[in-house]
Amino acid sequence: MAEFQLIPESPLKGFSKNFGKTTLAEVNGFALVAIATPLEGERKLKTALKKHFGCAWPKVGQAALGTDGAAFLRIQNDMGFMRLPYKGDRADFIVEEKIGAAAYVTDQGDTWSELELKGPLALDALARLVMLDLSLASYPIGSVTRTLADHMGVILYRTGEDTFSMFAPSSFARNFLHAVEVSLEYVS
Amino acid sequence: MSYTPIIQSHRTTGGLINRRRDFAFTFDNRQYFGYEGDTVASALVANGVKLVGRSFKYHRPRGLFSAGTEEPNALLTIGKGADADPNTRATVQELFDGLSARSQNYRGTLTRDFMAVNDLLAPFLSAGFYYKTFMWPAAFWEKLYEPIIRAAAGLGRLSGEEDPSVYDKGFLHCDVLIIGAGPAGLKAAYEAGTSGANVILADDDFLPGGRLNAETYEIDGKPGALWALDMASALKAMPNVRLMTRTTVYGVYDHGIYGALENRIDGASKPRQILWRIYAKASILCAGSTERSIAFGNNDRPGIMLAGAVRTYANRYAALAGREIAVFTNNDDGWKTIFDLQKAGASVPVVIDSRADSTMEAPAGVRVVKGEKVINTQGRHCVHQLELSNGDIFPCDTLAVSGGWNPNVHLTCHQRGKPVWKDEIAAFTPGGTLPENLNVAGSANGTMTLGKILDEASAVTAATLNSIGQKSKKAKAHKTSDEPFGVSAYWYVKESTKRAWVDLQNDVTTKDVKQSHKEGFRSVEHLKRYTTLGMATDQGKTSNILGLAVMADVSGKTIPETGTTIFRPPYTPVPIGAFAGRARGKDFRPTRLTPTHDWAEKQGAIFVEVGAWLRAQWYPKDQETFWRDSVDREVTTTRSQVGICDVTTLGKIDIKGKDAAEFLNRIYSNGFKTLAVGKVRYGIMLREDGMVMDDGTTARLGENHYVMTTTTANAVGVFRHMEFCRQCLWPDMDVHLISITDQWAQLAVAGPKSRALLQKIIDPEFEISNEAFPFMGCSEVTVCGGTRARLFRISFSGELAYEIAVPRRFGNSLMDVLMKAGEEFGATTYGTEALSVMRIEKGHPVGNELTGTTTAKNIGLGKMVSTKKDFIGSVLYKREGLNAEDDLQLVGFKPLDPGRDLKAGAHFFGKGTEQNINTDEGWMTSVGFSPSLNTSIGLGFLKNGNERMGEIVTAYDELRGNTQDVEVVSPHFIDPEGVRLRG
Repeated sequence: MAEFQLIPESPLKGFSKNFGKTTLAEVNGFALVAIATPLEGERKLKTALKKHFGCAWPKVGQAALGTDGAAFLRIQNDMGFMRLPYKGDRADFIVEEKIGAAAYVTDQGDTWSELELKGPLALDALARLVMLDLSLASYPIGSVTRTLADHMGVILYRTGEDTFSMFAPSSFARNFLHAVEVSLEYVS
Repeated sequence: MSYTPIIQSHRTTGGLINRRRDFAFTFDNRQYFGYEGDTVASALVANGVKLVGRSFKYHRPRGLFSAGTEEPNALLTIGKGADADPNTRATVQELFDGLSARSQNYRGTLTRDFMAVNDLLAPFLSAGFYYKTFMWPAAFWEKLYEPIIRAAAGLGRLSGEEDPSVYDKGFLHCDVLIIGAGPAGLKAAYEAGTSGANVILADDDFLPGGRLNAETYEIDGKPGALWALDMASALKAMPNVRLMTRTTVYGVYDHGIYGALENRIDGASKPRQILWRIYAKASILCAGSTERSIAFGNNDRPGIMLAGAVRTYANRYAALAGREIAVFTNNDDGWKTIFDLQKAGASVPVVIDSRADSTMEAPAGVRVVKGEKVINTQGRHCVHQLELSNGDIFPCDTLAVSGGWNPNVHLTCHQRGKPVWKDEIAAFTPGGTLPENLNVAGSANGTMTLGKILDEASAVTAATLNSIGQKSKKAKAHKTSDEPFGVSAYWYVKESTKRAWVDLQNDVTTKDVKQSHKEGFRSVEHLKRYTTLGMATDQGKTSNILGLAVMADVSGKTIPETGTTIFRPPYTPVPIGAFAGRARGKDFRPTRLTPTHDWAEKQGAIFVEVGAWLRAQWYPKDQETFWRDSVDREVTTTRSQVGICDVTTLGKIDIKGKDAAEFLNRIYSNGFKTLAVGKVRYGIMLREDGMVMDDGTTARLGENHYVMTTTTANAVGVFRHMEFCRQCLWPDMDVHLISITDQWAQLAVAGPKSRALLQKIIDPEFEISNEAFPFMGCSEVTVCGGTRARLFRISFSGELAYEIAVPRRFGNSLMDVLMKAGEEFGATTYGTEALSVMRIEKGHPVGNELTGTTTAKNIGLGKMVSTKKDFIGSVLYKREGLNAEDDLQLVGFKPLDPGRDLKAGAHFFGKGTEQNINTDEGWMTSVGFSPSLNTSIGLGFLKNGNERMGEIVTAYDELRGNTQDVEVVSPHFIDPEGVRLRG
């Protein structure tokens, strides 16, 4: 046993709060790993993703669900994020071991702080922050986008009719939480 | 405060008010009562209040003129103290319980305004008088004339306190935005909504219906107001329709974007106002029309109102504007006033129609005068008598005037649409190029009768849906009472010898317009600037057409030839607070926190904003009361023992790919292809123009894996630049970039004991001796029993130093662990201030030196610019002007008097040289107090500086009274050979 131990802390220390029937809560226990496509290596990566994570290759702006809780969020042309249940600090090693030959893998789990917004106030609150059209017709379940929220760069991922996962850079996490809380208070 | 009984003297029966909910409110400290559904204006009318304000320039008594957004007179201050909201139009301010309203622009009382003396001086105060009168002496303008004029004229005043209200912003999307919820807007929204389109229907009123609520129209045998209520209920029930009352669409912008301001009922609501950005695939403007007046002698007295407004108060609010109400009109619509008022119980003694050939007929008991005009009125605080052009005199307490209706074309002009004149209604209608996908329906389009308005709304909606690829359902036709709408253009009564007002808000008369023409200001735009016609809160909604009609008349042109001024956003005033939204105070912009923020906060650190970051500036200890005490201690302890600093804020970019080495070789000016795995190299990158863009270190962690650090300030800019290079310049390269700035908590551990300290936490299988892990080495390691980490042996302080990075989640704990492990070494944390002192002592450039206007040679790094390879900036770096022998060079400075502080920003001149721009030889960029040297030291750019070591120059700083002589020295104040950092 080492003399000193490092204690992990999540950016929002497990925040959770209800606004009527709407819940805003920090999500922990998931890893986020950037998966970039090598030049002209898309086909190989598609195959590897399917084989190891059961994920299809979604279009940019969409997510594909895989096996064992994995999801691939395709946020741009040559890069996506693999979100998978994992609490450790070596998610990139795990992913690299499986698909490293077909992708460039970078850990992003500590880069982003994840908040889940769920409930009837979700859309109204987001309308105060995000300029996207979040109607179901335009932004169906499974949509994922890098966008701006109150001047912060965030990733928005719709997981249900009134449920969104929102990823903000960890350094902005408290500021972003504040922005969402204020929005929820204003629309409550 | 005085009290009046609950009796509302001018309230009648009926109306669209809720008599079960009465509200108490005050106007100029007198208490009154109104009902839910009232505006402040209607409640004042119901209480018989006529005088509501004083005019802008002449301080003439003024009363309510309209019943809507166009109101020029009744500008009140709503609320008290910090909540006070000046220049609020009483006609749109919804009444609420406890509302406090005050009139504006007088000295003394509203009824006895001392400034009314201006009215006696009117012959001297005509348009442009101050341009001519206050010419001499010129110096008096700013200090004497302007303050006096400003104090004498004007509208309401801001409280001067911080606005306690909160504001917000938001974004909405729709297929069709319908602007205005009058008959056309309701019909259009219903048709679009039932066709399945996503619809936003916005209206500035709190009650949808528009003129249907103000008139006595019928639709399908139903009162118009009830039809509107039913339509609104139906729309509210549609999930694809958003009905936004109290919301003014104030501007049209590019690509179907609209600005809208949503008001809440009272200032206490959170938020008080919301500024919406609405994205619409298409829109239909159903903004209705605004009645205009006729200019005649003394037409500004309280009690002289627009006829449509008088009907609105009577029909919608059950409030009579007077007991004896005369009517003066040039059109059929004005005649409706007679019938509505008689029905409401008022007496109409006379109707004057300027048209001799009018076929309209009045009910019994009303005197009809055709072909004549009102030439003058009398009455001090309220009109009480009219004088006609035929000499007849009529007593009255209210005069309802109708000069016709102007379509509200404003939003059609926000992208330079040019209205076109339509003789049939004697008004401008939308014309020219309208904003993209914006259509117009109803009276805003010049369609002035109800049946045609509803038909047009259906047709325009179908065409609009079709234009965006959606189908429309077959619209239902309605049976309406299609009213007569004949009008004969009549603008001003030439027979009047008294002043006739064109613009009530700015006290502009027909005489002013004529004078403008006489003095050569004949374009409508010049007319506007010279006379102020159409300016201020109402933007001339009741006066613009009248003003240009007078101008057309005196210039012998037609009105279309004269043209209109350009309508620009906003349609109605938008408070600055609404534009700011929630971005105020500490929420002005987002803040980034470092991983060790909590730890630093517990230590009582003083924080400083560095871009968006909040960084610890220094960590005061108990006995330290002066910032320098803390900073000096932090520097001294770091240089003698060990110091720890959170450097997470430096940009960190993960670079991967088979072509990563070549990519870096093209980005940096110095070579990177030969960098070995496990090594770090310092690099500088140039912009295309050859100037230095940024500097930093890049570590090679694997064959195809690099980690670059950037300066904190340029982190985003460098990433953007590299992505541009990757995607646009060299898309055939196999390389990927991703920011890992937030992924890793990175701490600098510096000082002679830094290795010993790190050895306590780095797991024993990793050797970090000087031999095994020399200067500029890097490695993946584990700490504290297996936690992954990255170790870099780099030094910004010039000491033996490392930067250790752990996943961000462990950052706060790592700081705690290092401080505990470092107790035996006397470890200290240090902030950005000590960091800066130590880098100045070492002569390292930062943002102060990398200004975007300096070259590698300027900062003493010319040797790092390769001549053997191609890289960004390599061509333009060779420009002759950037390579002069006597160019600026970064050198160090010491004061001759060690007790004096140097100041950044001082400019250098040769000793004894006259100081002017031609003899300027450079400037001081960075300064700090070096506890190691016990003196203030500085870095700066000096012409040919490297050749001037030991020379005394003058650091000129008269602005701060700190001019002094300084010695030119090497920029490397401490350990110039770099022995410590390699130790």
